[in-house]
Amino acid sequence: MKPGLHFGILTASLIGLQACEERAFQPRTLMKPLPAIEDAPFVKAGEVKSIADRDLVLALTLDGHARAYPINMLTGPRREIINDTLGGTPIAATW
Amino acid sequence: MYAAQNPKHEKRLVFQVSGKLWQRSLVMRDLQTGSLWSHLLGEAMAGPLKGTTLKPIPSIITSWGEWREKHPNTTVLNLDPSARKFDTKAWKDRKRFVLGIEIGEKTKAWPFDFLGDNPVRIEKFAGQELLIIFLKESATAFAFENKTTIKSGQLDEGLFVSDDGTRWDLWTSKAVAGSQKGKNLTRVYALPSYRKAWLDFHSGSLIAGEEQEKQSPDSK
Repeated sequence: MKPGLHFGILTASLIGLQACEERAFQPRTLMKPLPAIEDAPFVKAGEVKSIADRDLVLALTLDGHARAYPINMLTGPRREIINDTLGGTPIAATW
Repeated sequence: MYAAQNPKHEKRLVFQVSGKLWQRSLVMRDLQTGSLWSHLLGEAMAGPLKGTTLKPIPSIITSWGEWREKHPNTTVLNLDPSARKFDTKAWKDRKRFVLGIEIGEKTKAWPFDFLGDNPVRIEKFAGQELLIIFLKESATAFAFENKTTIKSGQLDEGLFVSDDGTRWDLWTSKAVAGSQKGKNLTRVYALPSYRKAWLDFHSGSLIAGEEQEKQSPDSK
């Protein structure tokens, strides 16, 4: 086998490997897992404190039920996922 | 926003922040199986549920004022705020945000600044007719599948008026007046996110209004 050809095969396989690795799941660990949020408190629109009309909310309706999650309450590692149930459907509120 | 169950695990999955990041984005972990999930893809990347996905639930990001007005009976999460910065001013730097849609293997992003200039978009993507509507004031982006005969339209006092004069309520997806009254538009799952985060995960994504909508270069 000519050295040149060999090199070509090697390069091709390395490029292939690299392309694979780019999609590979290799997360970085920054901290220990945080407690899951279940049973978060919800109130009616008129009863919520600490929210202004211009504040952004993540919101949805499901089977006739409307729910809003103020983004300012979902911010920070401890708050990024709210385990919730709406209209009988288990949901993970996150964005 | 995901359904917290899937055909491989029909009982509820409870998610926690795993403490891991992948491509600068949150990795979730479920307490039931310990599988690790990409937050942006909704797919288990490792663990017993690897390869399975969570069904995305159409949701929207809008202002509290707008949502409450349209949904007076809404309930709302009531925790102490953990930030203060996310109000409608946060969208001011519109270039930083996109509305992303994934259909099959294809992805496309509509930058908010583009949507600000083009608040009604009717276009074909990945074999589907899409109707994308943007309310500039609250930076609320709606995405529908256009199964109707709508070819164009405009916004009028928060309603979408299609070319045949039908008036559509964006929040309920229903035609409230006009020849198509009573008909429904179908919501498409669309994700408002940081442009950078979207492109990190979907490097081949089309970008509306850019480079003749050719594929974005995979610039890392």
